[in-house]
Amino acid sequence: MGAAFLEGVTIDGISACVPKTEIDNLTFGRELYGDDIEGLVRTTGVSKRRVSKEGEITALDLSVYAARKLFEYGNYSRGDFSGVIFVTQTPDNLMPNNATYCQELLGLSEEIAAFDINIACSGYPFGLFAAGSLAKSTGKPVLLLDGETNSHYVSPKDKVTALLFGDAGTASVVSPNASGGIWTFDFETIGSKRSALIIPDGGYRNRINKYSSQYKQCEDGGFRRPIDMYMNGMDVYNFVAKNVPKRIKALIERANESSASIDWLVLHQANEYMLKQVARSVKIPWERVPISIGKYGNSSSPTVPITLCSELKDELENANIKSIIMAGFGAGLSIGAVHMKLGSVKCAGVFDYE
Amino acid sequence: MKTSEVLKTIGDVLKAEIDEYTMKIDVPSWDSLKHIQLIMEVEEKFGVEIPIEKVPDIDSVSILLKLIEAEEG
Repeated sequence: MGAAFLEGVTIDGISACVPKTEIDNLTFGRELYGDDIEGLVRTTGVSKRRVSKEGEITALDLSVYAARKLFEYGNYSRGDFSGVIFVTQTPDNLMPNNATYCQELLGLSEEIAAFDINIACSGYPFGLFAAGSLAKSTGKPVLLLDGETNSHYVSPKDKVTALLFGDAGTASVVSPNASGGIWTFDFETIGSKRSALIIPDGGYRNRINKYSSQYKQCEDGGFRRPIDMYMNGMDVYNFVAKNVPKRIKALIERANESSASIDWLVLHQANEYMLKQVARSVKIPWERVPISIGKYGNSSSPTVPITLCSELKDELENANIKSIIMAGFGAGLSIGAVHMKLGSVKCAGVFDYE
Repeated sequence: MKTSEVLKTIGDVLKAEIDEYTMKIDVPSWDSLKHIQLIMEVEEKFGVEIPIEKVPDIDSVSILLKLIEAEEG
C-alpha cells in the first residue's frame, strides 16, 4: 500500500525561519482554559509557539528568508537549480502560486519548474518525493520550500485548536547524489474523512461571503469563523492512533530495517504525548524521537524540517545518519512517511525572521 | 489498582462527576485534548501503558478501567 522508491538523491542542505513573536501558552491560554491550562500544556507539549501577524508576514516570507540563509550558508549557486517546489496551504495568493514568486525573489533561473503542493501536515515527505523525483530526472538540485502560517486561520476562541498552532518557513536543497541510497516512502490517504480537518469557506465550493468572517458558536462548542480551521479532534486522534504506527511499521519493514536500527524518528509535531504513544507502539526509544513542539508549536508540515534544524543540527552536519524516518500526518486525512540515510547535510539552523 | 483512585483521577482531569457507568458522550469536557491528558495521567499515576491503537476504543469509564486492569496483568 502506498509504496514508492527513489534512488540517487539526497538532502544536501536545510534551514528554517520562525517569526520573532513568541506566545507563552500558560499566559495566553489562561482565559480560555482556566486552571486546565497547565495540564493541557503538559499533555500537548506546546508551551511556546511563534506566530506572525496576519497580512504582514506570510509563509512565503518565512520560507524565502530561510532559503536566503541556506544559500549563504551552503554557498549554493542560484543558477544551478532545476526547480522550486513550495509545500503550503497558506499561499500569498490563490493564483499564481508561491513557487513562481520565489523564483523571482530568490533570483533562480527562469528555466525551472515552479509549483506548489497543498497537503497540510503530512506535506514534507510528499515534497521530498516531488523534489527528489525532479532532481533525479534533471540531474540538478531542487529547492524545496515548506512553510505555513496556520495561526492565521485558528480561532483564539476554539478550545480544540487555540493552543496548538505556530508559524514557520523552511528551505531544503534536494540534490542528485549517487551515494544517496534508497528513499523508501509510504503514503496513505483517507478522503472519506476529509471533513475532520477542514476550513469550510474561502475556496471555490464555498466562496468568501458576508458570513465568512463572522464568529459564531458552532455545534461542537467551538467559537470560530467559517474561514477558520475546524478540527474534529477525536476523529483526527483516532486516525493517528489507528494508522500512523501501522504505516511506520510497514515502512520500517519495507526499508529492510528494524526498530532497533532506526537512528531517528522525526514525527510531525502535533501533540507531544501522542508522539510518545506512537513511538512506544513502533518500539523506537523516546530518546531517538526529537521534539521541538515546546519551542515552536505545531506549524503543520514545516514541523518535520524545523525539528531537523532545531534538534539534529550537529548530527546532520557531523554524522552519517544511517537510518532516519520522517513522517507527517493530518488533513486529508493523509499520511506521508519516508525512510532514508543521510550523509553530511549543510544545516544552517533556525532563524528569527528580521 | 484501586477503582476508586482511578475514578478520582478521571474525575479530576475531566472536572466532572463520574462513576463506572459514565459514557464519554455524556461528559461535555471529555474532548480530544482531555482524552489524551486522561491517558497520560492514568499511565503516569498507575504505571500502566495503554497501547495507542486501543485508545480510540475508550468511549466510557468502564472500558478505560478494563484496559488499565488488562495492562496491569
